[in-house]
Amino acid sequence: MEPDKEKILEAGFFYFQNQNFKKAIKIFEEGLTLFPDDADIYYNLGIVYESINDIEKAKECFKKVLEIDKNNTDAKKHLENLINL
Amino acid sequence: MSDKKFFAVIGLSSFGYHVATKLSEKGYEVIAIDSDEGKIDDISNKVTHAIQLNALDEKGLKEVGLMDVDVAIIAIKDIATSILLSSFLKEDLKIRKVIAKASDQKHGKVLEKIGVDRIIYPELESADRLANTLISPSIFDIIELSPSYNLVEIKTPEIFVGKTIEEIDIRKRYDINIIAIKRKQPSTTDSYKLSFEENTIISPSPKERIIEGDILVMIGLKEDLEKIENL
Repeated sequence: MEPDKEKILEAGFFYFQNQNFKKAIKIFEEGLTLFPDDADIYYNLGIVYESINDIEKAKECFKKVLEIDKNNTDAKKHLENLINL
Repeated sequence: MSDKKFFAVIGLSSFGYHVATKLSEKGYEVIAIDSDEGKIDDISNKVTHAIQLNALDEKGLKEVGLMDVDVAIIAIKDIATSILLSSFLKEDLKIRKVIAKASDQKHGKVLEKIGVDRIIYPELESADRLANTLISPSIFDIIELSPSYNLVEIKTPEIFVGKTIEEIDIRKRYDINIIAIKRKQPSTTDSYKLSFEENTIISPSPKERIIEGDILVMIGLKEDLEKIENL
């Protein structure tokens, strides 16, 4: 994995674990400017949005993951759950 | 005479019928009035007195002792009848509290002008509520517990984030009880793929701190809950 991407994922993970969701979102969104079509970053951003119940944004992220990787079963599962809310 | 309030409900379509029977179930004395014999038969064993009477029969209304009620609820669809009756109850019978159902804003405005104490818009209110849950991302569910109390699940307002329940002082400030918090707790061990667990904290302690995204399950008067929903 590219070192920069690893740093982004780790920083986002750190803030997410500490329930600093705003910071985690910021990290992942900035990460997407460097890696615009990265399914891992989109997936993690989707999880952060889902954690804070920002349903529409979470859905967008999981849809994006599926556009990039249509076989991503985890993203599919999350998206289905959110659509059924 | 008992300390309990004495009610009259005039007009026994769906709304009036339910108000009258609920009040009666709660142990209050209720006079239910309608001109339709069938409606009177339906409610006669559910309220204290069920009387078949035209709403504009002023003499009849006086004879049944309507002036003795503490609260009169007018649930009549016909605008002209509802207005004339409201005016008669306020001006002539001097009933302390008159509540009237309005079919629309215009009807409501006229009722307001003739001094009706409280105007209810049942159709508008339930439509508003449904629309709110459909369009507002902050309201996750609403359950009507009684005509005045709701249980709602809402996404915590931003201003509560980082504060404890004690600090928010929700019971004193808003007269609302938080009965549970639904929280998605980060449970990740792998930075590659984040995950969370869904927890429900039942009867949270006053020391519980609100976290962004928490769903607050609250019980309170509808109008008090609306204040929180609009924060």
